[in-house]
Amino acid sequence: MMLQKIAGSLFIAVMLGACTHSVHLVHAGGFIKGLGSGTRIEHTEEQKVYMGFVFDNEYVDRGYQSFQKMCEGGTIHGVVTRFSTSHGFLHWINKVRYEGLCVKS
Amino acid sequence: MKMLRGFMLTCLGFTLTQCVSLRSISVTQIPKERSKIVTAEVKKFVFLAFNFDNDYVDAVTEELRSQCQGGTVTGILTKHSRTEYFIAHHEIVSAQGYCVR
Amino acid sequence: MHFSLKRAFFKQLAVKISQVGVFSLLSSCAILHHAQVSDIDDDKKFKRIAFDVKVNESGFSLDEALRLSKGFTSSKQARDDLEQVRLILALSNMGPQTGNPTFNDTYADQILSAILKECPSGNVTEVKSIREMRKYPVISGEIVKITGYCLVPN
Repeated sequence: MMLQKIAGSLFIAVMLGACTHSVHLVHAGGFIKGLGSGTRIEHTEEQKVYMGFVFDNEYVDRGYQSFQKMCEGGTIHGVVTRFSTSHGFLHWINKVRYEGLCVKS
Repeated sequence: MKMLRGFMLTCLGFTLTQCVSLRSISVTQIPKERSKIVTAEVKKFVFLAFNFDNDYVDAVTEELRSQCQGGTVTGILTKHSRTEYFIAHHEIVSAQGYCVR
Repeated sequence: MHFSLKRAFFKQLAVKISQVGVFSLLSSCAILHHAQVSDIDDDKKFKRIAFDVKVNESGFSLDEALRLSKGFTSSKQARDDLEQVRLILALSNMGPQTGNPTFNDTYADQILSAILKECPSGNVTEVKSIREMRKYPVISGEIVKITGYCLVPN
């Protein structure tokens, strides 16, 4: 009976996991006057965290570099940054999303 | 029993140390010319929760400006993170950008 | 005996109603989480047209709902079960939270499109990014608001 209860609880926990999210902040800015709207580019970088054990924030810089690679030789303006977390069973995923306008001239 | 509890608490203390959490990020316009990178970082050690001002953050812009005299710093990635210790934490604000002349 | 039972029931009901009243009075607050401002361009050759873009998503606090249900339940068994459900939910939705959790994280992804719709030229200045929540009992409105000015030549 006890074993059944534990198995049931674990099943519910796993089934309910990773269904909620939390958007911590959205930042918009860096528009340059007269540059135009260009091409829209977007990149998301993630970091999986188990039980809260995390020792760096490297994914933010990694995402920043990858985002820039999408517009080599161009200017990125109108950058919108979103930082959010997707919750899960004994773990969570931190996400950083960069979106901007790439103008190559 | 008392010893075991002490041991458990010490283990918990160690496991809770040095966990990093991100508080906020932002990016400004990224220039075409990205050869000169400028970086700045400021830290503040906060014991328990005793923090009476956040003036240390002001030094970030000063540091960036000093590395790009006569130029413009753009493409600034600003990160505010926190490193947790057992009963204290470090507030860290770091910025990375490009110097355009 | 019957009369005293009835009296106890109504007394308990009155206490619960007053608890809900106090709770409701304290709720429906606007809570600010983050506010950021971008560059300000005050070029007099341009006319400034204000715009604002707002997106929101319903937030839901399962924890608060279960705590409320626990308060309304008199059976010890039911309270224990609710506590167990609360624990399971806490374990299956671990992670940092700003405001109440939502069921999707893409609700703010159309911000840039919305800004460009308001200002197709992309000549935007003084952008204020606000992350706030409108809190009610159990539910909330998780809001991202962007305000700014579109620069149009005079």
